[in-house]
Amino acid sequence: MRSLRRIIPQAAFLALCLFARGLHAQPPTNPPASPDSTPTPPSFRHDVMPIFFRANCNSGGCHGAAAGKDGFRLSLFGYDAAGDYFRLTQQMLGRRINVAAPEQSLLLLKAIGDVPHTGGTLFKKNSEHYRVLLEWIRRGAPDDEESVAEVTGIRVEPEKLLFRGTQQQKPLKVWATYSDGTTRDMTALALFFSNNKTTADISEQGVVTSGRRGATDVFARFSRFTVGVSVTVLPTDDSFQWPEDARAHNSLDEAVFQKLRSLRITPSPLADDGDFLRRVSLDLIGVPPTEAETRAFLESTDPAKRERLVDRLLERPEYADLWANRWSDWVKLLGDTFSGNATDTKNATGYHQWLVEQFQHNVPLDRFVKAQLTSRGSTISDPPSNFFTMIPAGKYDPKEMAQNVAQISMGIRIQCAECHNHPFDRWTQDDYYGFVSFFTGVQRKKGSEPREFYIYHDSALPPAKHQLDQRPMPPKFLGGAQPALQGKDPRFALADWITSPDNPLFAPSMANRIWAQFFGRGVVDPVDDLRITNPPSNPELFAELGRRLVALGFDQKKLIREIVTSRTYQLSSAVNASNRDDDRQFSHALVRRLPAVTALDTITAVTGVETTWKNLPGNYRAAQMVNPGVRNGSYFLACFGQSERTSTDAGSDNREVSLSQTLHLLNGDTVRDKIRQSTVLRDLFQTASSPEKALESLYLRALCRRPSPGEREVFTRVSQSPPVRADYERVWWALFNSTEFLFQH
Amino acid sequence: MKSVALPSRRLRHCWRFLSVLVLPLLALFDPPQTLGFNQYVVECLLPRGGRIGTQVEATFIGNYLENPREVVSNRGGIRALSFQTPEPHSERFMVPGPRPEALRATLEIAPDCPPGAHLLFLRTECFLSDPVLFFVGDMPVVKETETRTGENDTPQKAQAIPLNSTVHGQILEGGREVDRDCFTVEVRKGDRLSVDLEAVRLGTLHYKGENDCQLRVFGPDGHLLASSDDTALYVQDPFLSLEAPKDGRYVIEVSQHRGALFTQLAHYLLHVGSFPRPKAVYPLGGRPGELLPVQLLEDGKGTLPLKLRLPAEATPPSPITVFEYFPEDTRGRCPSALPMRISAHPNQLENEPNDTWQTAQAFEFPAALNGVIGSEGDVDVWRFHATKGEAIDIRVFARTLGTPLDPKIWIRPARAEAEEEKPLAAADDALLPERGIFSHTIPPKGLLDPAMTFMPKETGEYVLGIEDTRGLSGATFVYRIEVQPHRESVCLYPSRNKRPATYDWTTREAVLQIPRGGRWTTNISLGEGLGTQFGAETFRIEAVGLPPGVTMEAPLLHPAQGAKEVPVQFVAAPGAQPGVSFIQLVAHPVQAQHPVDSSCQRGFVFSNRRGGLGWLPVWIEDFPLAVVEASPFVLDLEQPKIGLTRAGELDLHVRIQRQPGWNAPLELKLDYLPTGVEQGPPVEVPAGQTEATIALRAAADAPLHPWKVCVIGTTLDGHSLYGTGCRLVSSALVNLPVTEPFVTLDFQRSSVRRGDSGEITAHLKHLKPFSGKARASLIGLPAGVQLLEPFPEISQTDTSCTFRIQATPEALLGQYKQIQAEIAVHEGGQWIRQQTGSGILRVDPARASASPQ
Repeated sequence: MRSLRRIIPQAAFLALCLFARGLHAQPPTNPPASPDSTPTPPSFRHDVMPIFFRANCNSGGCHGAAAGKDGFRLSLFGYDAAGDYFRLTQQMLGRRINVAAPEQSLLLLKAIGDVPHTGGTLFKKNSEHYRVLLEWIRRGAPDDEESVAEVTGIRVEPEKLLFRGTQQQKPLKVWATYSDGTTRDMTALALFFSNNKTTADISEQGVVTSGRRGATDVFARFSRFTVGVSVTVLPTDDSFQWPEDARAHNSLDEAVFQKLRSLRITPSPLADDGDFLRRVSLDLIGVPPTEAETRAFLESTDPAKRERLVDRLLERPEYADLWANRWSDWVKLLGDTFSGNATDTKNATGYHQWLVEQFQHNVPLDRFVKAQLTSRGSTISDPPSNFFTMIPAGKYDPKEMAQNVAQISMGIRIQCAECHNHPFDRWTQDDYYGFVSFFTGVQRKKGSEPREFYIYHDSALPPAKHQLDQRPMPPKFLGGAQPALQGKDPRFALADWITSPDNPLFAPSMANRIWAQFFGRGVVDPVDDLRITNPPSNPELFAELGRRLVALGFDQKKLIREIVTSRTYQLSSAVNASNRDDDRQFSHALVRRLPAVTALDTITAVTGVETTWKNLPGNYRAAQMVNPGVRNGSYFLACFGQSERTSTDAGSDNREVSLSQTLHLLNGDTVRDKIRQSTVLRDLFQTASSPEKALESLYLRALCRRPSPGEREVFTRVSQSPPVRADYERVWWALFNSTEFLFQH
Repeated sequence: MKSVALPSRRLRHCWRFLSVLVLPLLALFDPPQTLGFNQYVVECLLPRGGRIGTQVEATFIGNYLENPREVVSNRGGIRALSFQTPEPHSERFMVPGPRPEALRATLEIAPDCPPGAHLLFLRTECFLSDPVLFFVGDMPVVKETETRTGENDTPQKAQAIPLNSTVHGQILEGGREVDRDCFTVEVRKGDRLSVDLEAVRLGTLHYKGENDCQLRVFGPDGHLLASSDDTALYVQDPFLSLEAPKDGRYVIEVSQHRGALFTQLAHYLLHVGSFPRPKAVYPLGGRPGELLPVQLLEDGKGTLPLKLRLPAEATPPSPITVFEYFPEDTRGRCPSALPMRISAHPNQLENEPNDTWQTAQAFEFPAALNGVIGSEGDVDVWRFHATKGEAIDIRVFARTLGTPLDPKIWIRPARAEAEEEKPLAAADDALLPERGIFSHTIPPKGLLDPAMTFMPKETGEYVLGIEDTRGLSGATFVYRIEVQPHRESVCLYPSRNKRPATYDWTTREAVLQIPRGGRWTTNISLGEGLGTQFGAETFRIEAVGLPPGVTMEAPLLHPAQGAKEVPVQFVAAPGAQPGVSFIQLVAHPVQAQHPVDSSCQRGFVFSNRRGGLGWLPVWIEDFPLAVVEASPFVLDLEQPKIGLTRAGELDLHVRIQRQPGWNAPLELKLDYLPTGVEQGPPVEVPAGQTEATIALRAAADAPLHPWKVCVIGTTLDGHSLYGTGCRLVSSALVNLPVTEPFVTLDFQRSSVRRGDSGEITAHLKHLKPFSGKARASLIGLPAGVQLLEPFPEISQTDTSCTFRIQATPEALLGQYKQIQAEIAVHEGGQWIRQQTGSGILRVDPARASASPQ
């Protein structure tokens, strides 16, 4: 696996630093020639195209769009210089470029706004950009010679920035290195942006301005390269002291706390038992504890009761249901009634059951992913083979397959590189098509009955062809080596490479997916969009998560146990002055809305009224459904954003809050009917020894805590004496509509 | 015969349009409801099976079941001892027809009745029903006692049944509760417990459900011991076999898979006993009459070595007929068969290692090569000698015979360097004709088995390799490759290529019923078998097994002239005895010097998947033919005295001989139309009328061939689309040659001005003599241009003719192509109309009036 280390640096984000160090260390040589001081005309690639880049002419929203804009197309971010030159100089002779009357060139007239231009005025007539373009046209708008040097990389100075206090400013400088060994200061032509403007903003000229306390990255982009600079903003106040009791439980805490210390952020204290019990139950098994479980936990004096609780929950069958449900979202598991696309309900049911069994048996994640990547056989009798029918919904497409595999297993999105080198990451078209070729031999054919399809690999099929020049691209690991396959199914080599402990993307990415389930956001967020321009908020934590997953043998339960027994996970959601603004460094528990299935299953569990589903006999929790319940007519799940599994995006299960959710809880039939039909409530009403006891039961079931004196007082004040069932119904209705119920905290 | 009120003709044609065009489209989206209009003779038979040597009180549910006469099985051994009078029926699981009825009958299953699936046909006074599956077994029958969901859904509430019995059970429909059926049996430690479920194979649910059941067996301690869902042998039907780990009460649970629809009652036969229940047999065949040593693989007792006496007759090369092996030992007989092959080729069993050309096992063909792709990456390689130009047929049998192997084969020269080269020949999945399947388009699992004809280009040593396409392997991945010198083969089958292969169509066309003193005609096509090309060969059809008093007449098949399909007519003498026979059709080459294997087949499906996909195909190679009571009318089609010319029209004249007192209306049409010949909508003959005319039209490029045709008459008191409940009668075959036209016209370009008259002239080319004068007129003239009388008349000696035309001042301007002439020739006492020519006429503006000077 030495090759892996060579192929992909320690992690994609760290590659930036390594890359920068690999560049020329000597001062810039051969600075760009000024048009005025040399007879050499401006270079199309070195001088003209960077202006298009800087002025956003060749961005996706302008002429860089696939269809161009207003009849004129440039390649996106200039990946096709020859094509751009042709379209500019020869596609409409004498119009876009007018050598006879350079000032009348549409290129210039549009750019300075002398003629109507959808993109508006881009620069002024007296600007440097205008002067370079005009000079280039005056010199006959020449193309570069074939031997023209290409940009081989950029570096930014300084590599890190540290600010004390707000509104401090520091400039960046961007150096581009060319294939002829020259280096040029391209600060004036680079693009700059920030990931978090409230912490660090950056101007068009590359000047960074500090904001509020925190850490973020700013980026410089030139040509096809993007480089980040980490920015830390500290308060000017030196009174920070780390709380004595905030001791790390494990290495994950250490990584978190180290970052917090560096930012002078004080973590919140531990959550109380009730909050922890509810939080960990809903996170681990998707249903709240019973009243008896809650009472037992709250009353226990066992110092290790939290760890013991975690161990018990991890063995619950609902744990497997919940994780199967999540993976069903990510692999777009759907069953329908028509067999044409190999996604019959029977196939989907088998695949879903297989997923459940994987988590029941705690199959290591590397084996779990490998089993699907290398699956073959019948979509009915070999369930993981549905990986190749569910993800490419409809007709099988190796490109779609490759993109989704990269996204699901390594948390990276390579789809941009299908048409051009990735604008925000390191992936080139060569990388893309080499990766696609791992899947071009996958075939599916009809099996023994209409619902059944066979998945297999045909080694006789050719690899993918490069989009630009149609040359065959043999299977090649992303950004790395070309494996020796000798007619074998390349998916096996790919699966070994992806799931290797040496792969710096797989383990951290998988661990980050798991982490995000317990914190509401990943260290990289979204968890499936790791790129140079979206680095981890805490690189050490990201790396440590991967290291721990590898060290634990890709054992998900063990990693989860480490996560939920960490101090970080157990922190309260209450904030202090130093961490009030923090939403990236896990200094306190983020208040997060329950996922749709957990919200519904929680209401179901609390009321004891099972959910019935349209067109489906039997009673299932939402997390147990093969198809998402939203497809079985559940308005609740639709309203709360359950994934319809049309995308592999980890964020397809929408966790946003909307007014319709509030209204549905207030007035909809879900809460209303379940409360009315609740036999739990009926039994409680009939058997509770006192109204106080009944009220306490309602609170313990719904919120895992006892009512406060104030809440007891309100209940006594507004209920009849003695209370009737409707009074208790109203209590639950109020609790179900509380933020405390619907949110993890 | 009862009659029903007839809708108007227009309404019935609307219904026909809906039926033919709209319903199949709707069926793609919601088949259960839209196809609910379909009508059946026999929709269902309950119970779904019976025990050998017993009598079964059975109920046929369907339409038009009055006056039942007999029940026959395609395999014999079952008959009806008595019938009751049909009663109205309205059970929900049946698709209701216009007259849903339940007919109770006492069926006798003879002691020597073959076990397994039988196709039963019910003959009534006037009809032979479509087939219905019925299953015969050895074990005593127990009925499931559950009447409401939940009564036997848990191990605690399981219904006790004796070991070695067959349960007639049902998964109850609908509702919020999922029906599970639990049964319990006492088993002693070390005994074999085998469970075999027949559900989808019963073919009971045609539309509304899948009947896709699964099995689970729990031990005396309540732990799950074994489960089975889909199987390689029976696809959706499960089975399992285990050795009991301890004495006690074992629970067997039957349920449908979680994603199944529960909208219809689903019947099943659950066999529970100590019988052998292997997953596969090795080898998969032997020679006729041979005492074959076999191994039963993955039985509950492990691998069982047995000796099997094979029948004396070989099975045909196509997979539609197999030898059904019911393994048995001292503890019983397996209720479901393992399909096997019987062929004259000597068996060769593989000896591992045989994965390379160096270790390839040598054989001489004809031979049957038997092996197992038993381990990861296993490839079996066989070596043989072949002579240049001598073709070899290679057929693989694996999925065809229910093993899990998905084989692909390749042939290479037997030398080292060839290993890296592209194979000389390779085959994976087969096409339907390559597997000898012609009678419908439902791909059976056997299509996963390759078949090819290999033509060596050099004399020498070759290797034949076989492996699993998916790279899978296992102990039951058994295969058999039959290799023989190439033999030409053809197959006769009912033509239904224009209709969907669904439960409706295939069952509708499954029978032949000939009225005494009448005729019945069905269209038969000829298919080319593996590696076979008809060339210019002509074939004659022979019917084998016709009952006394029944004869068959069929035109010759001329595939090279486009006549791959002919009308085959059966004629029953007035004295022919009503009854059912099973016949075969054989195609004999008329000129060939070499032998040609001929077979016939008829396939149909018993289940339509949602979306209209038919599956669960069943084939028969003997066509059921029934002689039924005389029809109330006879058709007499007058022999035309002349042929139908290309691009011409001809009227056929039909006389209807009505039985005294029968004056109902009927409909006439040609079921068989020669290539390139069309007819109009069916001709409705009003009540009491005894004559009718049917117009035929030939395309300009219709093949010139001496066709034969007949007219089919249908009463209108049944189903207009499927013919259910209708009496169908055929006329005798008459000659209808398609010939060259008499004359062709070559138009000159012409023009006419608005308001002016003009002429269109055409040169004549005489192709065929005719007597007298032919009338000529023009068609395709633009609006505002008229042909002026007198129309030209053409004689045999004319070389041109001129049409006079007149354009109105409002005639449409422009250039009009495809001006044609219609020539009416009076020949042989009747008019023949033909169209010819393709002229161009330009309509110009009116001439400008002279301007005043």
